[in-house]
Amino acid sequence: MRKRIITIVLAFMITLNGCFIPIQVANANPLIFLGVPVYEFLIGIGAVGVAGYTAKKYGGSVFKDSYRNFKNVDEMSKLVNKHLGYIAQYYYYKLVNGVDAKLQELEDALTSSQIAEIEADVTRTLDEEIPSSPYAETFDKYGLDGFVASCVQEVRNPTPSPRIISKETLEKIWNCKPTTINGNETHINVGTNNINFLSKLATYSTHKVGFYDGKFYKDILFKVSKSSYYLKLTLLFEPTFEIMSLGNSRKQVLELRTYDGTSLKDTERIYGDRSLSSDAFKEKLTSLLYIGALFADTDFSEFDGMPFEDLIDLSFEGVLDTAPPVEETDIPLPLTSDMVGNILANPSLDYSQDLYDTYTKGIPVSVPITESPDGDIILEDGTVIPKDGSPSIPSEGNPAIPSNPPLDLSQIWGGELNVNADAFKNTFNDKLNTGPLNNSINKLLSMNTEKGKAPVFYVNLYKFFETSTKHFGSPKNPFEDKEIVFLDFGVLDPYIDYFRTLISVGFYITTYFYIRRKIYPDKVVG
Amino acid sequence: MPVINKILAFLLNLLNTILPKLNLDIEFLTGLDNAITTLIDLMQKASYFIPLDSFVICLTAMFVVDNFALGIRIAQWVIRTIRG
Repeated sequence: MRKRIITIVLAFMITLNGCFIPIQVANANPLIFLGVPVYEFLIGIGAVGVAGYTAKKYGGSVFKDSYRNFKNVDEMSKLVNKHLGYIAQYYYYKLVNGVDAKLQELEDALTSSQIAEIEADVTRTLDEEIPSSPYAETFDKYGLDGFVASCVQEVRNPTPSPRIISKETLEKIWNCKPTTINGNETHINVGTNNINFLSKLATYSTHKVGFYDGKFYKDILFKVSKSSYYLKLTLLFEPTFEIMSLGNSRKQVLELRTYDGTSLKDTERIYGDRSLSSDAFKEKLTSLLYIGALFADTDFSEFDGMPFEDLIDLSFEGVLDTAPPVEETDIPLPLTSDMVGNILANPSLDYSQDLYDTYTKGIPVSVPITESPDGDIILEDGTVIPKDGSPSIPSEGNPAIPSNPPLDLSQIWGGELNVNADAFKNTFNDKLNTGPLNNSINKLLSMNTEKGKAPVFYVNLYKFFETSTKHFGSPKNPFEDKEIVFLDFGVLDPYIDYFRTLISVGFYITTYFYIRRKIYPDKVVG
Repeated sequence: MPVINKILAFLLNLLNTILPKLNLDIEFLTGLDNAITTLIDLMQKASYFIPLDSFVICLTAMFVVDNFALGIRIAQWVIRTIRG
């Protein structure tokens, strides 16, 4: 009887969920008959059907003895992983070939023979190279992350066995522009997930510029998301880092390890959501490549004893002015151990202006940049930075570079960068605290117990369709490439406070009876 | 609420101190960390439906009552050690 009730309730909930799709779609496009486009309505019906079938097939047994049915769940997850693997392969292909979001435009311009060539290339990559590679197992087990990790490791320690990703390919990745192109504006949209790394990056690149000793490869201007600051980075050619994937079904954990010769020097973990989109992953991987390059061959040991506050202050210098010197041979080591000792000995010493002068020499700050068709970077005042090479920009008489710019930290804390304060703090907390549960503790201490926003689930039907029909001749995609609302709990807004009160009271009553039963264990209570 | 958070953080810190001494597998510890983080994430995400402050207070109360005997024993042990 109870099982039947559960089944009915489940069916009702699933149907309700299914109904939200047409409702939301109707909101989005009211002009079509009954507000429901045919395709999306069919998919809604299909989703209800699939959900019902799955609940019927797996739900019963899972509910019956959930602990003994790991096998079913395991098989299901394998299936899901396999399909995710296809998606990953597709985007991996896009990634390694430097094909960005403009792929569609390029494809339109291609001739049919060229398209056939590319398709053959894709097929060969997917059907022959990846399965026959020594990392096929890794790919099955860890997905894209592990695969890329193996490849990067392979590049680090080359073996005579056949490679998937060659040095040339890696070079191609590095050469592909790390830019999101909006109109003419060129920047890297770093995103909130990466801001933590960016803070780290900014901190370290501020101090570590001089250690590269002429091993620079390329200069790149980063624009910090949601602010007007730029980071100019200089990249090494040879990557000496690994991206390790700790396989975990709930979270993607990327681990960035920097090595000093053969010993592990620094470890950085990146947690991604399970819903991490391929674009976000690409963005993350790209930044990882660059950050890894920056970490390479650096020595952080001299900052071990520095007080927390000093590190934060210095990191701010980093965000404002992080940049390797343009003429790297002429500029001395930015921060020597003597200087650090000096700073520690004299906390009141005003060293910020010196640092500022050192790092801002020839660096444009807060200048919107555009890109010419040739790939050159054009500053606001018309200064052209050629694609290859990085000439110094004359700072005198250049309106883009303030001669004596104000450095008011309070403005920054209260300004746009305010959102990054926690990221900074966490970064340094991570470095200062050692222990396996640091992430949990930080999370707990920053936990917000206020009422959150209503969860909204989105779905991108375009990508679903594109991926699922890729091997069937790629029919024309009927959907727009955008995310539509799949399920919006905002409709519960008028009633949720009532339920919250109810749940709260229920918690307290349960706790009361639990404690009472604990204290008087021999009496029957309730 | 901050008090409750501090209690929980204290417990976690205790684990943080004890666990590394046990020579456990680092992947296990990472998994534990991930699990706790995931739990907190989940709670955070469910905060629209569940009043988190009540929830955490109740959980902590249950935990403290559950482990009351343990606390008493630790206190006794400390007292005995001091007394000699």
